Amino acid sequence: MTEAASLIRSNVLRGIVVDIFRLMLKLEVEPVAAAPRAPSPGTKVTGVVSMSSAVEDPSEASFAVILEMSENLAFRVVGAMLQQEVNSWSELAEDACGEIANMIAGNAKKHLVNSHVLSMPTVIVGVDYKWCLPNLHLKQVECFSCGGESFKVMIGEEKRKTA
Amino acid sequence: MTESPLIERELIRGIVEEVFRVMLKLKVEPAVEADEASGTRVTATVTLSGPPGSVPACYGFALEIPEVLAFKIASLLSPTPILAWSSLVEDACGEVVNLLAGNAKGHLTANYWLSVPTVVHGKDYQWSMPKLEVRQVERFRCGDSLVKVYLGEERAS
Repeated sequence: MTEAASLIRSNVLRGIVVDIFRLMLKLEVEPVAAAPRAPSPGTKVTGVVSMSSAVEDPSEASFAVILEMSENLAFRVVGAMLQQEVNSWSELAEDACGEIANMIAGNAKKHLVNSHVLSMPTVIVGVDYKWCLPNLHLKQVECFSCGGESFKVMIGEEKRKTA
Repeated sequence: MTESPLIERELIRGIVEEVFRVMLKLKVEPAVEADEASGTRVTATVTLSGPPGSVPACYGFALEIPEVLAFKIASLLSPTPILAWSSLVEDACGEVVNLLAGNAKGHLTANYWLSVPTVVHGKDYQWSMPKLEVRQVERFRCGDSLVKVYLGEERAS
C-alpha cells in the first residue's frame, strides 16, 4: 500500500489515534512501521464504523474505519475506560471497543468528508473469524503499539458506484 | 429484546421471502424453532443512519446463515459453482443483506442512509452492535439451513 493511496495523511490519522488513547484512556500509543506478517494467534477484537453519504448522489462514496486489536489489549482499553481491572469479555467491553472505533471514525471523518453520517459500530470478538466489507477498497492501514501489544487502524473507501 | 417489533412480522417475512425468491430462486419459510447455528457461519450487517438529531439515530440489520447456504447463494449469483470461501461469497452475502435492509427501509423511514455491509465469516466469534436494542429476530428455513434476521434501533444516549 503506497502513501499516495492514503485517504488521510498518515501523520494526521496517527495523531488522531494517539490523542484518543492518550486523552480518553490515558494510554500511551506509538505508531509502528508495519504490521506483523501473519495475524497474531489468539482472540482478537474488530470494531467497524462506516460513514455513509447523506445525499442521494450515487457518486458520493462511503467510507469505513476498522480498528483491530488483541483481546488482551481490548481488556486494557476497557479497563482504562472504566478505571478497573477487566479480564473477561462483556457488554461493557463491547461498548468500549465500539466507542473507541466510533471516536476514531468521528475524528477521521473531519479529514475525509463533511456530509456523511456515521453508522453504529459493529464489534466482533473471536478466535476464528475473518471480516470484510465487500464494497470497500481498503486504502490505508496504520499500525500502533500500546504497551507491547500491536493494533491496527484501517480506512477504506467504497468502490465507485455507477450512476 | 422488547416486545414491539419494528416492522410487522408479516411484512418482514414477506421481504425476506421475496428477496430470496426473486433474486436467488430460493424458497424460505418462517421457522418456529430456534435452532442455534453450529459450525462455520456467516453474519452480514448493515445499518441505516439518519440525519443529525434524528430519533433513532440508526437502525441495525443483520443476517445470519450457515456457510453452506452462503456458498449456495453465491453459486446462484455466479456462472460457476462455489465450494470455498472467496470474495464472490463475501459480495453475495453483502448484497443480500443490503437488499433486505433496503427493502425494510421503506417500512421504517425514508431519509436514512445505508452503510456499506460488513460480512463476518468463521467458526468461533460473536458479533454485536453495542448501541443496538434488538427489537426483532425472525427465523426462516431455507432447505436444511436456518436463516436469522435481526432488526433493531439505536438506544437513546
